[in-house]
Parts: sequence; structure tokens; C-alpha cells
Amino acid sequence: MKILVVDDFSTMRRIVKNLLKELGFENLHEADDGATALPLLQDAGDFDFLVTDWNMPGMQGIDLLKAVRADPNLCKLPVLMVTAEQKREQIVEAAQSGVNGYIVKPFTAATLKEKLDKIFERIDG
Amino acid sequence: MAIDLDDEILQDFLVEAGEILDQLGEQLVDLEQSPDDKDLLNAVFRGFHTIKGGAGFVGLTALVELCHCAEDVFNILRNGDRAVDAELMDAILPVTDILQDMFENVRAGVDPEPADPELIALIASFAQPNADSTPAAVPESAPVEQAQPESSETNADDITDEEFEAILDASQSGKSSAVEQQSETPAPAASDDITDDEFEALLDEMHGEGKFAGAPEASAPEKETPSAASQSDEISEDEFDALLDDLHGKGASPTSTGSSTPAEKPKASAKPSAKKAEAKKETKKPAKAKEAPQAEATVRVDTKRLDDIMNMVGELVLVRNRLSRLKASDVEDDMSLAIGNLDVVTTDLQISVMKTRMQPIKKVFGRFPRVVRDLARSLKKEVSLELAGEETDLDKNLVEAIADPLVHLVRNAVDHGVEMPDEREKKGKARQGTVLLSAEQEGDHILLTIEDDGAGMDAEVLRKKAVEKGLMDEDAAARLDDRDCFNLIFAPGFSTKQEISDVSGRGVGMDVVKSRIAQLNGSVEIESQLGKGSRFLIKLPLTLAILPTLMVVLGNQTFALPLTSVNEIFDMDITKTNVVDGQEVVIVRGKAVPLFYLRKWLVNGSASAAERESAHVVIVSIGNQHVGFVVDQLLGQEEVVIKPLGTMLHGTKGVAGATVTGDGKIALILDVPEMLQAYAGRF
Repeated sequence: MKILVVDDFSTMRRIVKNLLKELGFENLHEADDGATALPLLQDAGDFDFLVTDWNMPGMQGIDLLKAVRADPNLCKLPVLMVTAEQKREQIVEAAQSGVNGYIVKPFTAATLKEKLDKIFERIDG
Repeated sequence: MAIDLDDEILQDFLVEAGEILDQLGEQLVDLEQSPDDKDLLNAVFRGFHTIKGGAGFVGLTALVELCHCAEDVFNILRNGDRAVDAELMDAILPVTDILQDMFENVRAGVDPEPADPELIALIASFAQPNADSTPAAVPESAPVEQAQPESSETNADDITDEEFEAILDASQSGKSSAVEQQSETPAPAASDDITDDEFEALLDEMHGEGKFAGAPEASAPEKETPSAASQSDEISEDEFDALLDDLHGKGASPTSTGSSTPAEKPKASAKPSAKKAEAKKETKKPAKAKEAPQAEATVRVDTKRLDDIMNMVGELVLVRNRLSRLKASDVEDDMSLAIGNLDVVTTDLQISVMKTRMQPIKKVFGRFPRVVRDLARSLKKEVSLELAGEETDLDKNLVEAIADPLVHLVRNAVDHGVEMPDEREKKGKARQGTVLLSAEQEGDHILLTIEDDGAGMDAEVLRKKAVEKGLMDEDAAARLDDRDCFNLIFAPGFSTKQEISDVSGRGVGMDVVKSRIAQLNGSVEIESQLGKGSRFLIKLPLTLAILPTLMVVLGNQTFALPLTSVNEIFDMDITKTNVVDGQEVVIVRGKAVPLFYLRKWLVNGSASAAERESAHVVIVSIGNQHVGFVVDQLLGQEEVVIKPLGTMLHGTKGVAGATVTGDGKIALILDVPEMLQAYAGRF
């Protein structure tokens, strides 16, 4: 599975990538904000999953999500949003914008797996 | 800490978050100058936010807590609910210091102590909107529920985030906006799950009756709040699941249902909400920083590795030097060509490797706005700091090594240079003094300038002081020219301020500054004009690893003199020297220059050697003084790689290190100031 990890903080990208690797995902790519992620997604066209931070310079995670959903080629891409808080308002906005799941920092590989399982369950269901 | 993280990630975090922290320091000082800069507020907010997020992963709860409360403050600030003032800055600025300390702790392997609860409380007290600008009080937010589309329409261009929040709050039958601020207080509420009916109604409102309901939608804000206000503003796992179910049908994924409706659709189908979406987008804009995202074109490398590479290149340079020397004697043409080629490639390699170690001086300059601000505030002076040439690159080790001397000189400029505002006014100057800190590359060295427009130095006062302190007698003092007088401030135990301020040291500083700069093979000069200001000029080599030297021979041993200190070379008739004050001198262009025989100092058993009639003299400068060294032979210039002396020889006075010369011999590199101190007992 080809996964794109988007975060402006490279340490965080590394952490997320390490956790994904722990879960057995190998095909991992990264981008440092929405504005760089979007063309990457659009040009490659073969990403299977998107993990994005919310708070980033340039293009925010939520805007990336909206852009992804607005792109006919990407609108089916499952998106997991990484946030710092469990703010209802934010989550609701994300949900309404088409997010598939969210995960609150800091998290473990187990939590991440749970979230991923849930997302795929929903897609398959 | 929940995850088993290898150290590497922690190290990464320390480096990267450390950079963010340094940036925060600068940004905070900038912020005081332009408190309304939205981009800056956002950048600071994001800085704290990012450090917090990373710290959470590596289990540094003390960092998380502190960053969290700072982040809250900046969230309020960037939403315009509070303005930046000096009081707030005084509370926030120490946060970066504490964070720095915590970083230091972590680097040292100590789990940092949680920040002082009092400070946390103080900062938290700033994380409230100012009383007069609470969202509820914003006039536009007053209208009742169904009037909102209009109200947001009229303000579509300049609606702010908190107005928007207020509108949302107003829409939920009297729920107070306090919910926003007090996240931990659950409001007594009916149900915290959004119901199917409510959701249907919401979608109807958004898209018009009966339209497609499962589309991912950017603009459903008015109805999201009923659920948001119902209990706490944190969402639970189950709620999220329920929400997804509601949005997309039980168990279905948004990707399977949402595909048919592009985001533009609601605009056409439901005007009011589309308008709101636009309004919302307007408010989002300031949140985006201006700078373009940077593609990852860099790799982090351990400095140790660079040091190793540098060292190996050093060895290569030595071999190159040997081969070049051989070429000069007798080699065949082909070989000579190859050696010439090697020469070019080695030089390029040397330069490239040197460049990998270069860092912009900005890294050091960055801390000065804060230093100057704090100092000026505590001295009640008005000082503005100007920086120039921050992009100038300099060897990493040098950047670190020059930081302390620079801080000292800048503090000095603010403390001793710039006068009190009233005094300045009396002299017809602007109340605000200026300190200019600049860097530029000049050939193979870097020139750092610290300039103030303050009182300047009075040579006469310095002379008197020197006599008072017993540093020299009156005659000697009278002989000093102005420049020499200024240099007196570098003498140990010399301080011209009558009262010692705890700000810029107790007279132990300046001599240390000078010796530190000298250790870096640099030099410092002072220019000053009474009443106009002073200027300190520091010259530093670009790198510490490779040193251009003048090779000389004493007896049958080779020695290297750092070329930076060499002024001129000439031959002279050694019998035509004069003696002044018991010191042998040579007259160079009308000035007496003390003359020393290096052989007597450095070569065993040559103290009594018969003097020859003519000799080579190398004039070197230490600070602004000149000294002549008599040497036996001059070999020429050579770029040498400095190798430290073995442990047995560590601390040998007057020797900075050793190197392998072109002919494969070992040459000692002389440390001129130290050598003079050790052998001549002066300077």
C-alpha cells in the first residue's frame, strides 16, 4: 500500500513513518504541507492512503482534505487526520469535509492500527 | 510515554524543535515591534504547537504542558481576542528560555522538571480574551439564529474568526460563548450526539430540500455547533463514529459516497451556506503563512562525520602539498600533469567540504534582538538593533565559538556605548540609540562589525585610567596614540565605568573577548569617535581547519606562522638596530618595532649562537601592535591542516598545533600572542 505522510515537522513525519513501518507498511512517502502534498498526490495518482497533520503552514490539513475530496481522481482516497486536540468542532468540520478518521497526538502503533482497521472496515463495509 | 522510541527520534526532535525554538525567540522579539502581524502570530502559534506535538511523542510532558499554555495564548492573540502588550511579552519571553533549559536537560539525558506552576498560571491568565473584546460583545454577533446568513454576508470580506464563532454560538439558543474558552467545563446539555433528524435538517439547509446528503462538505458550520456545545468541546471516539455514520450512512466510507459531489456544488444549490463557506475561507486565509513550502532538499548529517571528512580532506591536502613539492623538483611530464590535476581537484574538494560545514551567522545573530531588548529594558535605554549580512556563511565551529564574544561586545555597546535617552536628547541625538551588527565576507575572512551611535570613547580618560590602575606610567601613557588607548580596554582588569553594572561584566570581559577571538585566529580592532560612537571590527578566518601560514626555518626546524598575523617581510642589516627601554627595536617607517630572535626562544642551544650580519625579519601584528621576528630562512606560504599536539605536549606555550609540511616533515604552528606572552613576558 502506498501511503503519503504529510506534516511540516520532519521529526513527526519520521515518527509516523516509523509507526507505519511497525505495522508492516513499507511504501511510505512524505510531504511537508498540503501545498506540496496535493501535486504529489495528483501527479502520482496511485496513492492508497493519506495521513495528514492538521496544523501546517502553506496549506492546512483540512484544506488539503477538501482539495482531495474536490479532485475527481482523488476523492476516494482514504484520509486519516492527525490532530493535537480532540476539539469537537474541528473533528466535525473534518468529518463533514470527508475525513475517514482522526487520531490524536501522541499515539502508539496500536492506536494507529486500530484507526486504520476502522477506516478499512468502513470502506469495505 | 507510550511508544518505544529509539534515541534517534529524540535526537531528531531536539535538533528540529531546537531550531523552531530559536526561531520562536526571534519571532517573539519581532512580534513586539509589529504586534498586529497576523502571519507572525500564526507562525509563533504553530511553533509552540509543533514543539508540543513532537514533545508528546517523545514523552516530554513538561515541554508539552508549557508549550500548550503558550499555544493557548497565541491562539487567543491570532484570533484577535487580545492584543500583544509589553506585560504579555514579559510573561511569554521567559517561556522560550525555560524551553531552552528543558532542551538542555533533555540533551543531558535528564527528564526536565515541569515548569513553575506560577508561570503556567500567569501565562494561562493571558489565554483569556480581553474583557472588552469577548466574542459575545462583538456587535455583529448579536442577531438571532436565522439572520446569520445576512449578517455574515454583509461582513463577508472582513469577518474575523471570533465573530464567526460568536455567530455560531448565537445560533444555538443562548449557549454562551464561554464554552469555547473553558474546554474542561461540560455545559449541562441535552444530548451530545447529533441525531439523524438534526443532521437531515442540516443537510437540507445546506443543499436545499431533498438534495444529496452524503457529500463531503466544507460549509456546514451553523449546525455543527449544537453538538459542539452539547457537552465538552472534545469529541469522543464513539461520537466520531456516529458522526461518520450519520454523514455517510451506517458503515459506509465517505470515499464511496462522497465522490459524486464536488465541493463547488453547494454554491449553486444553496446560496446562504455557500456565502458562509466563503466567509469561512476568508477567515482561514490569515492562518496560512506566506513562505512557500520547501521541498526536502537537505540531509541532516552528524557533525562528527563532517569533522572526519574534513580531517581526511586535510590529510589529502597534505599529500597534495607533498606531491606538488615533488613535482617542482623532478618528475616526468605526464606525472606532473596528473599531479597538477590532483592539485585542482583537491582544492575544489577542500572548498566543497568546507562549505558543507558552513552555517549562516544568522544562527548567532538571531539571539541578539532579544539580548538587546532585555538589556535596554532593564537599563531603561531606548536601543534599536539593526542586523546586516545575516546570511554570511561561516564554519560551524566558528559560529559557535564567536557567539560569546559577540554577546559581550553587543551588551557592551548597549551598556557603555549608547547613552540614556535624556542625555542623547541633550546632545541633539535621537532618543533611540542604534546598534548595528553586521557580517560580511572579505576575501578569505569574515568581517564582523559591532557599531553604536553612542558616546564613543575618550582617549584621554582611558590614558588616565591606565595610569590609575597602574597598568603603565604617565610617560608611557602619553606616548600612546588614540588607537592604542582604545585597545587598553582589552587589557586585563581594565574597566572605565566607575560603577560596575551587573550587565556587561566586571572588567573581566573584554580581555577574554580579545583572547577568544585571537584563539580563533581572528583579530579585533576598535574605531571610536568621541560623541559619535564606537565600532568594533572583528576579522575571522572562514574556517578553523585549514590555515594559511608563512613557513620559516629556525636552525634546521620548520615553523609555521599564521599568515593572518604576518604584516610584512624584509631583509635588514641586523647590526643597525636600536635599543629603546632596554628592548632591541628596528625602525620601520619611522616607528620603533620591538625585535625578537625566534631562534633563541624555540631552538635548543642557539641562545648564544653568533649573530649574522643580515637577517630576515617578519613583522607580525598582535592587535594593533607590531613586533618583528628574526628568522633564519623564509620558505614561503603554505596552506596547512592543523593537527593538535599529542597529549604529552598539550599546553605547550606558544604552539597552536603541528602540521606535516610539503616535504614530509613536521612543522610546529606558532601561536604568536601566546608565544610573546610566554617568552617576552608582555603583551
